[in-house]
Amino acid sequence: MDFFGMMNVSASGLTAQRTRMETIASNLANAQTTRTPEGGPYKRRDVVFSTVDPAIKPFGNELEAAMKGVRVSEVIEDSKTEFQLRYQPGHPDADKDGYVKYPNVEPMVEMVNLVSATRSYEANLSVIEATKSLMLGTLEI
Amino acid sequence: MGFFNVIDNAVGPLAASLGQKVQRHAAIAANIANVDTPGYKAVDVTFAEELQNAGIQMARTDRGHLTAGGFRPGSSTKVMKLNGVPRRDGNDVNIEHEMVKMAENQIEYRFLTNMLKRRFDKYREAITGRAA
Repeated sequence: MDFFGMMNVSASGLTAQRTRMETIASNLANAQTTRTPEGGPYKRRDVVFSTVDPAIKPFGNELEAAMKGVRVSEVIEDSKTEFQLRYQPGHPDADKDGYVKYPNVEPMVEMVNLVSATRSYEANLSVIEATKSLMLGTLEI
Repeated sequence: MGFFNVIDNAVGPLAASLGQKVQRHAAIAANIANVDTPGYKAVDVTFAEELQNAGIQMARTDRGHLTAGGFRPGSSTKVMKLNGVPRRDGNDVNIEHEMVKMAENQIEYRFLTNMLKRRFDKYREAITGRAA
């Protein structure tokens, strides 16, 4: 039996959720960015999670194949959501009609996403706490 | 019946169930880690229901005595899908359910480690002749 394999699975959850939070932070920070190296306004980014086999395989049985960690397999750019248009004729990035394209970042959406990521992060933390308490319990026998 | 057989008989079943609790915890940990993974299906473990006789019998001095002794939980692990209600992304992890299962499992684990500790204390008492 190996407790550290389990800890690794929870740690993969922490990493994935933290990456998600970083993406959200980047979206919020660039909510008003109208210029990017690729040209055009900033596009909001999103993470894609997928399962991954844990590095350490603690059990020599069926559970091994079923026990999956999680990782961020992709960071995608959201090009489906429309850019926000604002009428600012004086802005250097305004088009001929005076409209400036602002990023497709919706602060409300990002905040909801952030709360969800935080909660999932906390859930993984409590699993790690629980694993630790099991380990320590074993030492007390 | 040797001394170590006696000890194994007393602590073996407890140790075996302890192993099961660890595996259950692992399954819960994986479910919680994948709470936001599209298409992930929650898993749980079950263990063979039948008890395995370790081949040790209690002495019978009367026909009315039971023949129990040396039983321990089966060691084969079965992984099953929980088949909860999937969300729109195909993930069917119920986070509340998982947290409750984890708490439950933790208490059961504590119970087993306490039982084990008490058993060992008893043996120490018997060996040294002093109350633990």
